[in-house]
Amino acid sequence: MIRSGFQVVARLGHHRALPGTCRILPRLNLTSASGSSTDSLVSRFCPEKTDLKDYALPNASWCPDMLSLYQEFLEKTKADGWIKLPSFKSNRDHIQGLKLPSGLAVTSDKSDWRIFTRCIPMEGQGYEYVIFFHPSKKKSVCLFQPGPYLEGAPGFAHGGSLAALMDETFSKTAYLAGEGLFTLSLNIRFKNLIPVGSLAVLNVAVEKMEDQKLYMSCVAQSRDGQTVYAKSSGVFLQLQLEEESSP
Amino acid sequence: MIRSGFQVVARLGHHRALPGTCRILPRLNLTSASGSSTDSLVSRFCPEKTDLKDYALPNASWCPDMLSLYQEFLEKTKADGWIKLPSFKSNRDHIQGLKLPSGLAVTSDKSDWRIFTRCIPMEGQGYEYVIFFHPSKKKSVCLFQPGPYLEGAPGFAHGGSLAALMDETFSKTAYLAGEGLFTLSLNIRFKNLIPVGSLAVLNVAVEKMEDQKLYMSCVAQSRDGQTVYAKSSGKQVLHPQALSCHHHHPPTPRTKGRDNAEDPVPSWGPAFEPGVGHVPQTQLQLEEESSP
Repeated sequence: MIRSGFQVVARLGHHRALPGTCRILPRLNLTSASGSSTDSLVSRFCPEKTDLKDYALPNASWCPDMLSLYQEFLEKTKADGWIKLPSFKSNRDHIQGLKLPSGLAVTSDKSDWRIFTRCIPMEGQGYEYVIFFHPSKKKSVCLFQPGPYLEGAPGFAHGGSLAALMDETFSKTAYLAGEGLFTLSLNIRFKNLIPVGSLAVLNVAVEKMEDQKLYMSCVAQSRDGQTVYAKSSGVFLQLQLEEESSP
Repeated sequence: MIRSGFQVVARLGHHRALPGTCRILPRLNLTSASGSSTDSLVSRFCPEKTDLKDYALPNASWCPDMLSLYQEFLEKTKADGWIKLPSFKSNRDHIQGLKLPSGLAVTSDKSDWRIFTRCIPMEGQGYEYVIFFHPSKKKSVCLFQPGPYLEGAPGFAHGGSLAALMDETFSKTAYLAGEGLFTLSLNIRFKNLIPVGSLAVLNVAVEKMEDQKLYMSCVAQSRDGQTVYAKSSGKQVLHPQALSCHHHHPPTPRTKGRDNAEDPVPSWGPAFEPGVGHVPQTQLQLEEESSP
C-alpha cells in the first residue's frame, strides 16, 4: 500500500522542498492542464443535477437561529454572488471524474467511506453545517450547529470538533478559491465554549496566495458577534487534481 | 441557557486577563478543595471497578501494528510506570461525582451524549485509539487507527480528525498532569497524510507549566518513526496550586468591542517546534457535584 501522500510523490520526479513546511512538493507540470479558474472549479463542484443527497440543507434539528441565518444567505445567493455549497457524504462524490495527483491515489478494499464531517448521519446528533462561498470575494461563511455526539466538556462542543470543521471549511474554500488541496498548517486560539445545539458562525477569508500556498483566516462567533468562540489561520498547499483518464 | 463558559464565569468575581489568550479567567478559590496530585487524579480517572464500557481495548478491526504496539505498552504498564487510560463513551462518565466549575455547567435536555472521539461506535469505522499515560514523566502515547468514516482526501484520514484526536490527547494528558481543563490554543503542522486503516503513534509531552497554563507538544508518526504525519503544540489552563508561587494581578477591564483589535487571528507560522515550544491549556479545577 502506498505509504503516504507527499513522500510517494517525491519519488516521481524533481521536487522543491519549501523550508519549514511540507518537505516534499511534487513538480508542477506547466504543460499539463492549466490551473482552473474559480468559476470552473465551482461549476464542477456544484453539479446541476445529481442523485446524491445534499446534507447541507435544513432539517428538523436546526435551531431557529440557524434556520433564519440560512434563509438570509439563501437570499444572498440570488443577487449578491454567494453560492451555497452542496455537501455529499464523501469527498469522492465531490471530485467525480477527478483523482488525486499521481502517486497519491490509493485503492481501498472498503466500500463505505464518509467525509469526516458527515460521519454521523443522524439529524442533529453530530455536525449540522452548511457553507456559503463567495467566488469573487474569496470568502466563506459556515453555519455550524454541534450535536450531542460532538461533546467535550459536558454540554459543550469538543474543541477538536470545531478544529475539524474549521479545517474542512478552509479546505473547501481553498479548493474553490485556488485549488488548495492539503492542509499544511492549522493554528487555532479558543476563546469560549460553544454550547451543544447552538449556532456558531465561521467567517473564512482568503488572505493571500503565494509560493504555491494559500493562506486563510477564520473567526468563529455567535450570530450577533458578541461572543467569539475561536480564531484560526490555515495554510493550504495548492495542487491540481488530475482527470481520471490520465495515466 | 448559559451563554458560554468563560464569559459567565467572569461575572462571578474578579478575574485576571492574560494577555493574548483567554480574555477571562475565573477567580481561583484557594480555600476550596486543594489542587489534586497527579496520582489522585489518575486514581479517580481510572476506576477499579466499573460497568462502563471501555472503548480503548483491542477489537477485530485493529491492524497488526496496533495490536502489537498495544501489547508492548501493556507490558510497560506492569513495571515501567505506564498506565492505560480507560475511554468511556462520554466525558461525563470520566468525571463522575465531579462537575465543571460554577457557572460553566449547563443542564441539557438531551440524554444521549458522546465524547466526540467516540462518536462512531462501530468497530473500525471511526476512531480506534488508546492512550497510555506516564504520570511521573508527564508523557502520553496515543495509538490511533483512523477508519473510513474519518476520510478527507479519498483513502486518507481528514486532517481535522487528527487535529481532534491531538486535542483530545492533549486534554486527557493536561488533566492528569496538572488539572488542565480547557484548550486555549492548538497549532498543527501537517507533513504527510495518514492512510485509512493504518497506525499513527502520537507522542505527547508536557513541556512546561507556568502562568496558569500548561504547555504540551505532540509528534504523530508511523510506528517505525520513518514517516512524520504532523507536529503540534497545545496550551491549556493550569491549576495554581501546582505552581510554587502565585502572582496576583489587578483585573483588566475588557470590553467586547475591543476584542478583535487586541487579539488578532493567530499567525500562520508555527509558534514553536516540539520540544521547545508550547501548547497552552487552561487549568481549572473540577468541583465536587455536591458543592453549590
